[in-house]
Amino acid sequence: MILEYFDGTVNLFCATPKRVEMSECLGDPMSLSITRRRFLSSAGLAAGAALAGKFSALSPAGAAAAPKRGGRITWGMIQDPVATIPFGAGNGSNYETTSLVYESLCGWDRNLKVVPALAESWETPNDKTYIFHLRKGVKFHSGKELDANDVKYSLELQKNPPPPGADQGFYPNIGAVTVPDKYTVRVLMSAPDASLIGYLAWGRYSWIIPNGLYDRMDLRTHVDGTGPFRLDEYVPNDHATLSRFKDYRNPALPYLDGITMKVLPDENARVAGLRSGAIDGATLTADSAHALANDPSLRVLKGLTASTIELQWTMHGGKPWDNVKVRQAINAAINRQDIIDKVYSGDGAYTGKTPPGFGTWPVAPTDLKARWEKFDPARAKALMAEAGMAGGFAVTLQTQARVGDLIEASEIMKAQLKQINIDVTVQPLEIGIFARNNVNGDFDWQLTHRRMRGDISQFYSDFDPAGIITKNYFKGGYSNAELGNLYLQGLRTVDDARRHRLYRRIDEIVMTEWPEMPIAVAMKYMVVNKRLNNMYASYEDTERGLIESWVR
Amino acid sequence: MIRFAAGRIALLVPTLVGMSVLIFLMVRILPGDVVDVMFAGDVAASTTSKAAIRKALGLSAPLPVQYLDFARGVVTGNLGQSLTSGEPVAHIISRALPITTELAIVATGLASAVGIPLGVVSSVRPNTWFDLAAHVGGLLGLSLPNFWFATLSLLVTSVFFHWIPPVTWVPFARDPLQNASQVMLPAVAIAVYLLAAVMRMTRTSMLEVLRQDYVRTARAKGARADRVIVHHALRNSLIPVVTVIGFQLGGLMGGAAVVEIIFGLPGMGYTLVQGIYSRDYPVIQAAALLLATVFVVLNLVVDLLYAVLDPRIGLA
Repeated sequence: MILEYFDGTVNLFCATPKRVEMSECLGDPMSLSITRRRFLSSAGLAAGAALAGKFSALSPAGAAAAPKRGGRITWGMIQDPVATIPFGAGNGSNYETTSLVYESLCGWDRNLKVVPALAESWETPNDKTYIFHLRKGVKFHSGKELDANDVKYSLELQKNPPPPGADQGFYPNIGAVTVPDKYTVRVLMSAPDASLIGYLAWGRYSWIIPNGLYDRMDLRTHVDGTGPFRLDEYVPNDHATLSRFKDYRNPALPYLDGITMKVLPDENARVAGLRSGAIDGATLTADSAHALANDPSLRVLKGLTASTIELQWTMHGGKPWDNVKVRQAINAAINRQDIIDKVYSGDGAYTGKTPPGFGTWPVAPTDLKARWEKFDPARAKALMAEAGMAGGFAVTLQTQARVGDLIEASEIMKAQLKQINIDVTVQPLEIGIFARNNVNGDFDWQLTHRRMRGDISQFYSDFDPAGIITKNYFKGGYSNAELGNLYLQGLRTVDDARRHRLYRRIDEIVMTEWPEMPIAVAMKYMVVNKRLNNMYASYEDTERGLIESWVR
Repeated sequence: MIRFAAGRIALLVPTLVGMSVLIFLMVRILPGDVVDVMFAGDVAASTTSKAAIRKALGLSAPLPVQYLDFARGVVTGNLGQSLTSGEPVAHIISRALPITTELAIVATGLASAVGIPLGVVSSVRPNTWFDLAAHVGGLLGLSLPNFWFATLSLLVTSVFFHWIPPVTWVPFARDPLQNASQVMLPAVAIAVYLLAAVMRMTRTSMLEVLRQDYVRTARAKGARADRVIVHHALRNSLIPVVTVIGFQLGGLMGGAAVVEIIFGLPGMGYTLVQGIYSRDYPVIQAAALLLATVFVVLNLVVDLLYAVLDPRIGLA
């Protein structure tokens, strides 16, 4: 079977709220907004490249005005960063702050294209060696110049981050890091591992800090990075104050003199802050963003992120859904468009294991909708009958309490699956209980969020034959040796074209056998004061757009 | 009174020990620990690395050992470090406590300053329009949840006045005016319920006292009405009011969490809630024990106030 893949530069299909200012949310292809009608009408289009050209020609937000240096803004954060540690933080809110103050060897541009950062170039003489050439004259906030020993120290420490950091399972197979000279770093992989560049570009676990910094500074509340902003003050549970780093390697950036990242967990407080001008920007739900679209002082931005919702199940043997036909029936019985419409007000997309927007890797949402994730109740009933399960069964679906979209999607799926006689009991659980059950595989079904990764391989790490998910979710009820082998091959294959073929095959297997079932991905909404120009909703769910933003 | 107070303070010790055991156990009965939450849902870590983290965080020791560490910390003032941020818990508490204390005191002050006079006027003019309005207002105040009032007040001020309280906490000592503008709205949101409770309790208590013989005697002797009300009646009717205020003040120390979250004030309730979500045992234990201690101490203060308000009440 042939999968239709999607060009990463035209990956954002979404409905547009009535009042969103199109010209202003088009600054970033990642924040691309097209109407729902256009989305639906584009379903048959296969000319991704043509679309890419069309959209990339659109002007960025505020591009007509020249960038202006100066000014301070306040940004409303949903969660506290907890700690500003550079390595091994489990919470995404840490990344929101560290992405403004730290940098890695390479990074991503707005379109997730890998671009040089602290390394001006790199080469790969063989599959197991990467040589990075560092920029000269890059300064840390402390004034120290970046050199190869800083990179060696950082890469080595990332493997087992000091507490309260922890290994999050994304560290590539780095065998050794050597320093041929002051501005050259040689990374020797213990095995070919194509995830290294993505790991570095993501930055989340791969920031570069001065050699020995952990011994000199309390990095839970202090920072010494090379990023465009320096951390002046961090008061946990309240705010972080950042100011422009005057010696930043790119003298043109940042434009802002400073940012106060204020923790405002309550959405109504963020809405009120935006209306009053007390804050200049924040992430909001679709409903709140739509409500603010009429405010003449505000601008609504949106873009896809990698935050998908996924149905997971344990297959330890003896469960009805151990039968692949039952899983296929469930897939055919779930009306994803209905979920997108009701839970995300239409502003979402179909998704495979790799979310739409992640470069050239994901399966096209149009293809997902038309084929792989097609809503087909008649086929669902037939598959249940073929599996000998026409009478259905009862199952408990665990999800997280306090996470609105998961609960709503669970309830909708419950109603949808009732049509094939699957009696779902939705059980919202407090995060600690949900987390323990998730890690240990103590559940039948769970609906959960999956998030950003640095490399395509990491979206499929659940299928690592030696991984914890294989052990805790699949052991005894599901196995596919080809899938496990393909995962390992994908990780070790550096050639891009070959990797694409491998992941294409993995997607075919996953979307035929459904060991896990991706459901949908929502748009991310940011609302900003109109005085803030050139901001965009970044795909990896940070506020790094602030680096290039300016105020009137 | 000194003997009474000393006896009550001595009783505090076993009370707090009992509470510390309860808090310690209840926190650990919660399913999932900080490592589970750290690796929840979307990230995978091996059993070995999770075990190593638990060991590094001191979670692998037997429970009695963990409790003794906690108890030793309470006695010596070393409350340990947050499991998530690594920040000393004492720092966290010292940052959060003044915020909630200020909020609770301002709210209680507002509620008392408005609620007691309203209750008095309502009681001396029963069944008038004023009394009816106060009655309805009191019912509303008791019925409206403080989070609703807090949210509404934020939206109203932001929509109609393009203003909300400053979002970043400024201590009173640094800028009293900005601090006042920051605390006033959340304090009012909290005070509404308390005000209604105080007003109703004052009214009920006053109505009862005003029917007493000694009040009638005072009037018969020709004492001025205001003196009868304030000097003879109000003072004697304040005992249940003080009880209500004392309980509410203690409850507010932890119970203001929702309002703190809405207004972005990093107080004790907010800190405790965040600690519970992340299973940050040292933070939960210290915050809960402190709040329990404050509650017990406030009760003691209320008991002592009884004797001040009515010397006939013996404390022996």
